[in-house]
Amino acid sequence: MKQKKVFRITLFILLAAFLIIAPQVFKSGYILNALIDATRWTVFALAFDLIAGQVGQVSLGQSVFLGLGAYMTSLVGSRFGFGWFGSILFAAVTMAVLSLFVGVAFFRIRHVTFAIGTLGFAIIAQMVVNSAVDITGGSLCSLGVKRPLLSIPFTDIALKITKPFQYYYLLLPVAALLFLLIWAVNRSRTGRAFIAVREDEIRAAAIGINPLRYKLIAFVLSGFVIGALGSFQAQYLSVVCPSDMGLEITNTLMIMVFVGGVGKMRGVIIGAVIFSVLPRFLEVGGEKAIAPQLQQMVYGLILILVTLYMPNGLDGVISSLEKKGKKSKTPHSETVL
Amino acid sequence: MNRVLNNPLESKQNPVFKIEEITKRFDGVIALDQVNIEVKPGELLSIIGPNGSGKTTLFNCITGFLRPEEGRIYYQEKEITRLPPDKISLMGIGRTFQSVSIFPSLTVLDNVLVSVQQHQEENNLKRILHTKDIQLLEEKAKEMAFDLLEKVKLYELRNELAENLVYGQRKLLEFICVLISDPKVIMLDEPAAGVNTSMVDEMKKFILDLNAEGKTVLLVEHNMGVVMDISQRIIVLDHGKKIAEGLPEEIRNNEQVQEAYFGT
Repeated sequence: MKQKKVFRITLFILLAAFLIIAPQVFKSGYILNALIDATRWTVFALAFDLIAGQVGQVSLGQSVFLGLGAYMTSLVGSRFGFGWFGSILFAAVTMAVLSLFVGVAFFRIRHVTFAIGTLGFAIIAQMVVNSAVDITGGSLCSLGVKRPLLSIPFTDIALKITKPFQYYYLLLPVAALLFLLIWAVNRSRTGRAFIAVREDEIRAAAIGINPLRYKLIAFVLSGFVIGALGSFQAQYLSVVCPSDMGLEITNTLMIMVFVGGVGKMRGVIIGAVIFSVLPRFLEVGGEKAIAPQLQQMVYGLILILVTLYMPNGLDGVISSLEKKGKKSKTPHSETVL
Repeated sequence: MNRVLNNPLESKQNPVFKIEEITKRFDGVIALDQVNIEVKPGELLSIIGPNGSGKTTLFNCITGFLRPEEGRIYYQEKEITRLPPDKISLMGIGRTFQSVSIFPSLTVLDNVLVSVQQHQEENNLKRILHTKDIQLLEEKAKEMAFDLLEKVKLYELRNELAENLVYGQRKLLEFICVLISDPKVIMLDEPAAGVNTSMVDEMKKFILDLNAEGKTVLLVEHNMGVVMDISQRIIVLDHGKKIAEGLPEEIRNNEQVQEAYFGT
């Protein structure tokens, strides 16, 4: 047990060090953008997993909170001069509040119907955003999100963030905070109650856990984290489109989480990194080597195969390898005469 | 049996449960038909009856998983008829389920710990911040859990996933999950079903010990040997109606009961 802990801490420190010095090593914007994407998607997938994995309610509407979080920044935060961090906080809080309302409405229906209900919510939300041309710009997108200004303390200097490495260093602390939040929840008594609700709602109620309350806590936390990411995205791309809350986003989340290992942080991180970086390798000279539609088809196929043959995802595969490793280490010689 | 000397049945205290005229219907089928029951503090009461007589429905009505169409249920003079199950649990009413229920992907230890945490506190902000008082409560919970795990010989398996336990072990695990929150009333739904004879004896001893500690025990059980052996009082249900109530020997000799069971 202790060895495992030391190994984990070492791995964590190495990873953190890598993430911090990466921009000094890789100067290319291409790789930095890939790093930004991997970081964003990792936190996004973990927030999705809070709902789908920990508390066991697959929501197909989480992309809405990303999109609306982004619109919150382009339409409100950016115009009222909230500043980059203020905008992120504003988007996070408004999306948490929205999640509460959506959750109260949709958790009345169960399991499969919950997934279908949130899917309907996502479709309607996207349609509304698409047709509210006066406010959102519709399919022409909402342009002109202000670039983040980073005022340096004790000076009058305000640094305008425009380059990928600057964005990367802006994202890193935000992502680290959100990651810590999710990690702290999952390892707490609250996280244990989530799993109880996921595994057996009736038994959970019999030991004093109110299932609805814990589903709502997970849903609101997920909305908070995703709203913050949406705001960052708006400031990073400086444009928000209805497609930012599209179903393709949900598809990508599903493949990350289910291929990685639903309900397991390690698996979800691995899945998110693979499926956020992989598509970039499929690009040749800035052109997509395969059409996006084909990519979605391949994703769909992978998802089917994984649910059929690898229900615990990559995390399950790693776990069984670890177990085998442990067994082969235990000495057999004593039993063989 | 000399346990009966200090007889809770003659207790003048207010009843733990007062169930008044409850009726529960499922799509026209009457599962409970105007049932009246009083449970006295500290007694060991069994509820028996043929399959489908409404025993488990009664348990589910008391613990809030089902809402009776008519009638009221009082726990220590307080009406609990429409309270949700988690609230009822936190009032000190613990129960097991007929189909053994545990959380398969939590470890054995976590199964026990999660069963007591809501009784200790429910401050999710403090939990997430992992504050000192939560850590202390968790330590306390662990100590209690270790004792109980030792008692049912599951201590060595505490870090195994609960799904890896065999049936009898799961049953014991579910049992100590009820005990850890120190409930005032313990409701057991068929604790002796599907376990071997030596474990039946063990279960009997556990139940008698709990009762001797002063806990009120409600038992639904098919194993007549167990029921007749340990119950202080028995209530018989048939087709949702209470057809008899009395001491074990009275029930044994009751013609109506024999008819319900054997159709003679």
